[in-house]
This record gives sequence, C-alpha cells and structure tokens, in this order.
Amino acid sequence: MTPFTTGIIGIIILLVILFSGMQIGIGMALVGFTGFAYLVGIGPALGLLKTVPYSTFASHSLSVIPLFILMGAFAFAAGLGDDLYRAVYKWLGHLRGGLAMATVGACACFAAISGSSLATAATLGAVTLPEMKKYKYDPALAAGSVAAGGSIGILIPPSVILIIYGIITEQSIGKLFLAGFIPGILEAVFYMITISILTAINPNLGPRGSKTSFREKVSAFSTTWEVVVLFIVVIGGIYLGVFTPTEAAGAGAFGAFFFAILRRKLTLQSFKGSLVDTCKTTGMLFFIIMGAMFLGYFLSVTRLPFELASFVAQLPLNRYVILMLILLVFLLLGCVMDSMAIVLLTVPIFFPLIVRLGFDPIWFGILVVRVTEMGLITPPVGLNVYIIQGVSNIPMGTIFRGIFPFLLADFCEVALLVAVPQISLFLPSMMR
Amino acid sequence: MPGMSMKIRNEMWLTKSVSYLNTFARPIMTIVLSIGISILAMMMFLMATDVVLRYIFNSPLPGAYELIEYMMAILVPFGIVYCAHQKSHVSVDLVIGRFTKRTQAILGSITSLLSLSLFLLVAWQSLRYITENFESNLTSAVLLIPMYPFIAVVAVGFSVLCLVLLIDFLNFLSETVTE
Repeated sequence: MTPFTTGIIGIIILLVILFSGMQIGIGMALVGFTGFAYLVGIGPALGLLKTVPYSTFASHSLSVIPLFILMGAFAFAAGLGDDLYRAVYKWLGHLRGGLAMATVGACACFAAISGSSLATAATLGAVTLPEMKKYKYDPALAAGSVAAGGSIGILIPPSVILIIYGIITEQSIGKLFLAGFIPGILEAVFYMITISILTAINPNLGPRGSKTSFREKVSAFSTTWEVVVLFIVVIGGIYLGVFTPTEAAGAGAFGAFFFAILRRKLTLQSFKGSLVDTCKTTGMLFFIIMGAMFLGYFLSVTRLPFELASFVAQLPLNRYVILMLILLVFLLLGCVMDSMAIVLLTVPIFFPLIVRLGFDPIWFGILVVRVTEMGLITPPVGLNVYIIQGVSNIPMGTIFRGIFPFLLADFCEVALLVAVPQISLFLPSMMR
Repeated sequence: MPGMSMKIRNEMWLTKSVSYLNTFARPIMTIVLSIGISILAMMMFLMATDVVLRYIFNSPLPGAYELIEYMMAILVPFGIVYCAHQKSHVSVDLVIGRFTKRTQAILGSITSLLSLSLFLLVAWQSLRYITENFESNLTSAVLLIPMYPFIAVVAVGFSVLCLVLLIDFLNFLSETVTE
C-alpha cells in the first residue's frame, strides 16, 4: 500500500470512528498514531506519544487561547453584554425590528471582546430573548437573530479559530485578526438588512419600540466605554505592533478582570466560575489540538496534502470552481462537526492546494472561518441553536425556521467576500 | 435461571467498581481543578505585570516567556482532565443518536476501550519521558528551572485521564449488560 492510499484509508477510518461517537480529539490522535506506526514504525510512533503532548501544551504562542477565553468570561461576569444590548437598543429600538437589530449589533460589539461564538450567543441570548418576548416579537425572528448574531463572534477579533488557523498555516495572527474585522461588521450589516426586509414585509414580526431622546442615546453609550477601551487596547495594540497577541490577550484578560471589579460585579464566586469555565474550554480545545498534531504527523508522511494539491491543480478547472468546491466541503462538514475540529482536520489538507492555486492565505482563512461559522446555525447540528434552545425553550424547528433568512444573507456575504478580496485584505495591508 | 443470576452478579460487580472508582476520582478532580484555576489566574497576573513592566518601566520580567510555557504545561492537561470528567469533550453525536440505547452502549464500550488503550500508551510514554529528562537535566533558558517536574505534571494528567476513561468504559459496559 502506498503512503497516499494509506492516508486516504486513514481519513475514511477517522470519519467512521468519529461518527461512531468517539471524542474528536481522541479519534484524530488514534488514527494519527496508528497510521504513523504503520508507515514509519512503532518505535518512532511511541516517540511521538512521548514528546508531542508536552510540546503542544507548553507553548507560549498557544497561551493566547486561555487568556482570550478568560477575557470573554470576565467581560460576561462584568455584565458588559447586558449594557451593550441596552445601549444599542437605545439607538435602534424605534425602528421596525429594532430589538432584533440591536441584538445583532450587541453581538458584534461583544464579539470584539470575546473569542467564541457560543459564548456570544449564550451571553446575549440570555439578555435579549426575554426582552423580545416582552415586546411580542415573533419567536422565530428573535431566536434567529441571536443564533445568527452569535456567529459573528468568531470573525471579529479576537478569534480563537483564527489563532488556530494562523498557527497551523504559519500566518500572522495579527494580520488574520485585522482581516476578520470588516467582514465581521459587514456580516452584522447584512443581518440588519435581513431583519429590516423581513419586518417591512410583515411588520407584526417585530414591532417598533419606544423612541429615545438624543441625550438618552449618548448616556447609554457612556455605560459601555469599557468595551471600547478593551477593544482599542487589545486590537489596536496588535495593529500598531505594540503588543504581541499573547501580551494583548494577557492585558485584555486583566483589563476585563479589572473592569468587573470596578463595576462591583465580580464576586468570589463569579471569579472562580470564570476561571473554571475557561479551564474547561481550554481543555476541550487543546484536546482537539493535540489530536490534530498527531494526525498532522501522519498526514505529512503520507504526502496526501501535496499529492492532492498537484492532482487538483492540474485539473482543467477554473481555480474559483475549485475554491467553491472546497468551501462546499467546509459548509457540509460544518453541518455535522465543531468548527475548530473542521479547521484542524481539513486546513492542513487543503492549504497546500490553496497556496498552489495562488490564493491569498489570509483571505482564505477568513473564508474558512466565515463558512464553518455558517455550520453553527445550519441543521441538523447547529451548536448555537442548541444554546438558544437551552436559554429560551423555543422549539428547535422554530429556531431553524427563523435562521433560514439569515442563512441566505450568509450566502450573499460569502459571495461578496470571494468576489472582493480587498474587503478582507485592506486592513492587514495597512499593518506595519 | 443460572444465566440470569450470573448477569445480575456481573452488573453488581460493575456498578460497584464504578461507584468505588468515582469516590476515588472525586477528590482528585477537586485538586486538579483547584491547581488548574490557580495557575490560570497566575498566568493572567504574570502576563499583565510583564506588559506593565515592559512598556512603562522598560524592564520586562526575566523569564516570563518560559514561566508561561511551564504554566501552560500544568493548566492544559488539568483542563483536559476536568473537561473529560465533566463529559464536555466534543464528539459527533448526529449518527449515533439515532441508534438504539443498546447499540449506543456497545459502540460506546468499543470507542471508550480504544480511547483508554491509547491513553495508557500516552501515559506510559510520558512517564518514560520524565526519567529521560531527569537524566539529561534539561532546564529552561533564563531561570534554569528543570523541565522534568512539568513533564511529570503532564504524565500525572494523562494518568488521571486514564482513570476517567476507565470509568467511562465501565459505565458503557454496565449499560450494555443492563439494556
């Protein structure tokens, strides 16, 4: 058996054991280890088991992950999510569907200090859904706007998935962060347009809220200055080259901790709770990262990514057709799998091909994140949907119905991002 | 029926050992989690202090880089263990959710046995890595802190993970017998 066929068989076996319910991290490690042992020998494979875990864990560059997660946890404990929502609502509430738009806007702002979609959806779902219920919003629209809005969380920096993408493809994390910024804002704009179209067709879906004076609008924003400060320090610091991503994450986590104390929101219990949650999420992410490391050693021995790249590159197809097919694979995987696992599993396989086809690696990273993010809200396995159901008890079917228009908006935005790479690449090109 | 009593005896043996292992694992989890969160808090304060010292007083903390690495070597394995104990590691349950309870239990027994075997190997290799490092006396670059205690932490983490995976396996096995 050639290494190439071994690689293909390995991936098929991996898919089978993952669908049999094995934990994703363990499945990747198991196939990586046995495949490597088969091709290279049991001795070197045992050597991997010895060294890879320690070198993966004891990593300075990966320490940004727990620190950014901690920043989001403290921001949540500080109640920044609630205040953001109230502030955006004061500005948009008098419009038709204004509460839903405020939800999307608050999600985008919260994304700026949180690295994860699930945290964003959970934080804002708990605040906004009861409000929208009070104003007699259509449950489908309400749930759809939180689930979709939550998915902005991994595009607007800081973003855990972009960090992972940057590390496996050796791209600058700072550039990736900046590249995600405008597409993230654009996503929020697309969602707001979707809401205004829906409520223009049927005004009963989202009735207008009360008008607010200009003074109220300004004073509402003054309660959210902490978010602005955190965002400027963290992302501005990376942009200007003042901070490395790790330093920015450390400063951001401490800043969020400090603001939570300043607002008298941090009890010993919520402090401990934030640390425990972060510890658990860190363990969850690194378990998959470790598995992906083992799988990566196996895949590089099989030379599968490079063979695939040279095979596909010589096909008589337009490179955009190939890109579309790759994005379709990401979208389909996104329906059944966690986005972190997809990036770790498939980016090493597709990345050589993308480089070979002459696409920009930073731009591709944004597309990958954008498309796997859609997986968070597509049936049958949309994690954001479970979260919304968990905090609101709105039936799953209703949530998916509410999400459908937002998915259409997603398709339009992805098409725009593919057609105009400058949307993603403008800010990173300005970075020193 | 003799077969029946055999089955019940098996079940009792399984549930008993699971509950025994659980009482054994609980205090370990409390320790693992307390160490994990303390290290995480320390990491945040260390990083913030380093940033302040570097940019305001222009004198960075010596060895902050390697301290973060060593802290990660404690935080991550303990986080993994805690996450495993909370059953929060991700898996794809789309297909398996459609099977009968019994098939799920059988598949669960197989996958958890495979997981346990793999991590017994990992734990064993990590233990060997400690002695190797102890003998070669590798230290960090600036503060000259020896590396082997941190490899030992990783090895301890994997050993506890094996315990959690063993409990998982026995749980699935007893479900297979009862269903």
